[in-house]
Amino acid sequence: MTPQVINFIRLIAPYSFLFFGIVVFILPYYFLAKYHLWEKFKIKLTPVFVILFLSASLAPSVLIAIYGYNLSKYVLVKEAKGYLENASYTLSNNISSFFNKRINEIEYLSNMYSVFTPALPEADNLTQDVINNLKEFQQKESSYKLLGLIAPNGKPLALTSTHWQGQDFSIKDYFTGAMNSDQIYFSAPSIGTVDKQPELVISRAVRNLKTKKLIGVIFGIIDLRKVGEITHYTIMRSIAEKRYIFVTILDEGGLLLYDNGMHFTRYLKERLADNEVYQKVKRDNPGNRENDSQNKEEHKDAPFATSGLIPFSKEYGYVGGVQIGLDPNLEFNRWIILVSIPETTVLEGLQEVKTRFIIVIIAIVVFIPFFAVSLARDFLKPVYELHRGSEIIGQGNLEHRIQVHTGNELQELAEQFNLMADNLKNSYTILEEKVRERTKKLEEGKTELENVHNYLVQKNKELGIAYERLERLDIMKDEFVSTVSHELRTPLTAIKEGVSLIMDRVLPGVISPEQERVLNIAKKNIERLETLIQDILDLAKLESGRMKMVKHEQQVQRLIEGFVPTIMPLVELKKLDLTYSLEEGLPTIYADETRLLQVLTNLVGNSIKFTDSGGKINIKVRRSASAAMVEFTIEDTGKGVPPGALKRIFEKFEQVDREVKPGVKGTGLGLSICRQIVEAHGGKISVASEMNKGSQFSFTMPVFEPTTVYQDIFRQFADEYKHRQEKFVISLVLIKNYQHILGRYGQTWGKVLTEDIAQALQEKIQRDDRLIKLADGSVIVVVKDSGNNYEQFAEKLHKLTPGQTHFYDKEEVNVELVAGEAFFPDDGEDQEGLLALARERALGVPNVGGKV
Amino acid sequence: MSDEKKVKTILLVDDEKDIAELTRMRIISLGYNVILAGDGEEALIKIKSEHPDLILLDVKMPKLDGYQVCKAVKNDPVVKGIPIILFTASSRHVMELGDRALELGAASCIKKPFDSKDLLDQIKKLIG
Repeated sequence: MTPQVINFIRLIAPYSFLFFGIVVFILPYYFLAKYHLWEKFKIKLTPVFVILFLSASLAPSVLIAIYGYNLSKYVLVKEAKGYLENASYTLSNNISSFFNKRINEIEYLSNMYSVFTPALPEADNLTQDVINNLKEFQQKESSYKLLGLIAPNGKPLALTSTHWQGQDFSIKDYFTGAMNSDQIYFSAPSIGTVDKQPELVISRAVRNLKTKKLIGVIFGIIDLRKVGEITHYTIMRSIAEKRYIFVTILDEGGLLLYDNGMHFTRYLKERLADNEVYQKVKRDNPGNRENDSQNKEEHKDAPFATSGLIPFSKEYGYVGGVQIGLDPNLEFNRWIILVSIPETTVLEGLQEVKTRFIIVIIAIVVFIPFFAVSLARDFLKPVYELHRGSEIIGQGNLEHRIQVHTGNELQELAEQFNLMADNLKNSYTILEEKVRERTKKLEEGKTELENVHNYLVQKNKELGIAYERLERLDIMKDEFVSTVSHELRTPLTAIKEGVSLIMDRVLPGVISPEQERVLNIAKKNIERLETLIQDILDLAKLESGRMKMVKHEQQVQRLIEGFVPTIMPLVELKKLDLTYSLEEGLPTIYADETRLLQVLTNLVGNSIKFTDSGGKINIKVRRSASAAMVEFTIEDTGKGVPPGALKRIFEKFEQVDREVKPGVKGTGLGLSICRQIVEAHGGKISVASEMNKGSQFSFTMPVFEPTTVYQDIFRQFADEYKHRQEKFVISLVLIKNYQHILGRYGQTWGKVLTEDIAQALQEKIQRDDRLIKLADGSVIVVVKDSGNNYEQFAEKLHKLTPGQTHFYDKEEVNVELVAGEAFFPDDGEDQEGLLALARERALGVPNVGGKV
Repeated sequence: MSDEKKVKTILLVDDEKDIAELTRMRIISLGYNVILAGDGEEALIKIKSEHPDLILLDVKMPKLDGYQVCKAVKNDPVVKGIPIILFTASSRHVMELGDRALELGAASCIKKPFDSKDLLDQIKKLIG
């Protein structure tokens, strides 16, 4: 890890604690609120308060404790390092002083002998003085193992100790080194050959002050253990201050100069060389020995230098560092001071810090819940008051008011509550009054309603009488028309037969041409009168709905091909061009053949009447664009219909020809009859025309479909029994797709099957597992109400719609149903079963199929 | 007698005397012998006494109506073999007429006023 990364981590470490706090204490809140866990676990407000307060106070406390602990640790270590730095600096300074003092001593001795021993080395007695002198000096300073003066020839002139006698000084580096210069010479620190203790030799040449003649070399072997001695004071002080520092002093070469217990030699050798700071110091302060003279000059007045404390890694369990010392005045290399304090000593105070923090946190944990609970109780008191108040008011005591005097929003809430209670009471009072008032009014209204009811009953009775009278009148009218036409027809038949007897020459006698002409005119008018009577009769029947349509499946092509030849004589008579065009793949239609032909005859007859010779008439048949219908269109190139007459053209006795072409005879009932017939088929008739260009009469006939047939039979049946005034109510319902059916047919017959009935039927059918349902789940149900004709109807239905009908007694379904609803299922698969069931229900015939 | 037997006798029953007379004239022209009856009772008497080859019977008549006469004829083993043609003017009963006529054993039914040709065709078909 690079120092930048370490610094960054150190920087964000406290914030990471903050983050930790958020995660531990705030996130649970977030989730409790988000997922409505308060609600789910039904947590009361008091525990919420406790948890809130605890986390709100505990989180920062713990954070502060952890941070404070770390801060204390940091301060302690930092302080220890500062102390060590100071100590190591002092030590380094002391070492520097120690060696400078030795240099001064040797310089002093050298100067002294250059003045006072001009005779040397000749004077022997003088030698003894020098020895004494040096001994005295050695005792005084006690930093030397040996002091001595060596003659230029290498012979020792004076030595303070006899232990070194007999050695060859001429070959020592400090002798030769000093001989060749006028500078102090330092030998490298080494282990002494005599006492096996580290030592360092400094020497200097001694020359006659005046003659400059070399007298000899003065030298001192410095006992390097004395360097250790000067640390004593520092160490003792540290002990007094309970710091217990450990000091190790080495020379650069690794020679141990001093050690009070710790051995970092190996560390220094292996790690220090890699240390960047060390490298820098080494680079900036090169040792004197390696330097050239110029470099020496540069550093001559440089002050004593140190590297500053280079902290070492914590892995040793010590807080400490390395100080590298250097003095440019000294000709030997750096000295290295390693100072350290055991970590346990440094962090002694930390335990106390820890204990105090823990006490504070425990105090918070114990105290806060008490605080929170009492606070919650204080806050919730008005809430409970409100709760109790609501309960009391809810029970009907509208006089109750709540007393809350907190001065905050809760008091406002309570005041609002009281206001609400006031309003409630007022409203209640007003309401009570209103109820009283209304009750009174209702009682008054009831009498009035009863009057209205009686009136309505009376009116209804009158209406019933009027209706009955109308019906009677209607029947009377029918009978009248029928009788009149019969009575008219009988004499007409006699006249007709008489005329034709004469004209057919059945009777003997001769008829003159004039007589013949008169007879022809009579015959023509007899036929006209016959048609008129027939038309009136037809129209009366059609209008009263008594004209029965005998409908069957009809093929359009066969119908048209049968029709055209019957009208051809008239067409040829007027020299017209009659064509017809049928669309490909026309479906069969469901119609009364006779009546349909009557319509065609009427319309084509009209076209023939109003089209001049050479004109064209076209009969066009195609599928209608809209519903399941086939459209017949008769086009001609005749006179056309005046725009004003278009609307009235299908009305009774409306004869356009009177205006257009006087002389063309007609009853004026033809188109009216056409409309009645078409509408009786469920079709529509229309006309489009342009004067002098031609007319287009169109009418539609229903496509033959089971549904259509079913509806039609049912309608006829219902009409018939309605006419007979028998009480016979029957209904046919297809349950499936009821809505669809209602939408499609519901309004057609005026009587609508209500949704309630459909619902009741549906439920009934679902419950009844005896019923066999069609493959698509649909069922046809016939509900029998009353009347003897029911079975007749059922049988008829059977023949026409084999196997697709269910029969129910009204009591089974328990609903009131109305006539006029009949539907077909889409397609039934289980027809046999249904047929059997239907037969059994309807006719009492045992169910052979055994399906029920 | 043999000559008389050759000429087929038709009983025409109709309360409308004028029409009956005209119809008789028309049928006679074809070479048939026609006797007339004015109501149902008279018709039954004449059927028993005259044994006509064909009976033309109007439905709507006083005393006994056409159906009743028809029923009586068909129930009498002596005369039940005589073919009957029913006719009526009321178109309201045309549909029922067809069904009931056949039900009662009538040979045919015709709507009044009838086309002479139509009636004569029917007569020819039944008795030649």
